[in-house]
Amino acid sequence: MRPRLLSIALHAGLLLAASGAAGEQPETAAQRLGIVVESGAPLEIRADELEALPDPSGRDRVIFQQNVRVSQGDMLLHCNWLEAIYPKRAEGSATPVGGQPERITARGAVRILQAGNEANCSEAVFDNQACSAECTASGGPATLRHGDDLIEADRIFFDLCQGVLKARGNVRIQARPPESGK
Amino acid sequence: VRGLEAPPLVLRGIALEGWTGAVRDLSVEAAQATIDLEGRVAKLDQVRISLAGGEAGPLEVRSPSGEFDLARDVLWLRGGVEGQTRPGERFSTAELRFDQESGRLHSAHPVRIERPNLDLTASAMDLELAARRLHLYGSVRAELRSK
Repeated sequence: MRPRLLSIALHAGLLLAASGAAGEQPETAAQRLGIVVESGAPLEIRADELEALPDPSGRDRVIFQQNVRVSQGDMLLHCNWLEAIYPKRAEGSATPVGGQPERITARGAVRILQAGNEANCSEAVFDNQACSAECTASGGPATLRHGDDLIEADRIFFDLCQGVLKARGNVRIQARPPESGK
Repeated sequence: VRGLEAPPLVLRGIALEGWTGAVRDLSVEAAQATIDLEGRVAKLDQVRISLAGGEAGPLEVRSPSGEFDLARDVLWLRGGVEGQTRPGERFSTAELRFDQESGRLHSAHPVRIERPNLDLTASAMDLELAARRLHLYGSVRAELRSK
C-alpha cells in the first residue's frame, strides 16, 4: 500500500527543526529532513581539474572543475564546478592559509547526500564559520528529499551544526504523516 | 671531418643567471654540466634553479639531473623533482619542464603539492610563474584537514 502523503504549498518562509531534538520527541517528517556535517572531519575533494590562484585581496582561491566530488564524514556532494575561498593571509605574507576554506561555492547539478537526505539545486554556498549552507536553484526548485518526504523551495538554508533548515520562496512540502503508535 | 668534431665540454660547479633589466629572473646551479656544443644541449647533474616570483618570492626547484636545450631555452628537470612555489607550499614530481619564453613550469607526471593542512595530488601540473596560477589535471584529489 502506498504511504499517505501530505502535500502543502506555501509562499512564505518555513523553519524546520531537522534533527536537533531527535530522540527526545516523537519523530516528525520535519525532523527526518536536514543535513548535518562533521565540521572537524577531513574534507576530501576530487575533480578532473583544479586551478589555484592567489587573489589580489590576499585570499587564496581554489577552483575545481568537472566531475567534482566532495566528502566530509558521511556527507557527499557532487557538482560540476566548485570554488573554495580561504581566509585572508597575514598582511604582507605570501604563505597560504591552510586548513579548511572559509567559503565553498558549488555550481552546476549540485547534489548533496547525507544520512538518507538528498538535496538538489543549481548552486550551494557553504559558509564554514557560520556552519551553514544555502541551496538555490534556477529553472526549477531547490529540493530536499528523504524517502517519501520532499521539500521544494526557491532557497533552502541549512544550519549544518544544528540540523535546522529554512525554506524560502514557493515552498512546497510533501510529507508522510507519522504512523500511529510511533 | 668526423674526427674534428668538438668533444663535449664538461664544467664543474656551474652557475648561470638570466637577467631582465635589473631583475635576476633565473638562476641555475649544477654540480656538473656536460655541454654538447653541436647539439646545443647541456646535461646537468644535481641541479638547483631559482625563478623570480614577484611578490610571492622566488620559486626554488632542485633535481638530481636535468637537461638544458640551449637553442630553445627549455630546461628539463628529471629524476625526482622537488620545489617550493612560495613559503609554506612545496611540490614534488618525477619530471618538470621549464619554458623560459612562456614562463611556465609543466609536469606531465603525477604531482603532489603540500600546503599547511592541505595535500593536493594530480596526474599533471602547469604553473604560470608570473601570476602564480596553478593548474592541476587528471584525477585531482585535495585533502583538507582542520587546523
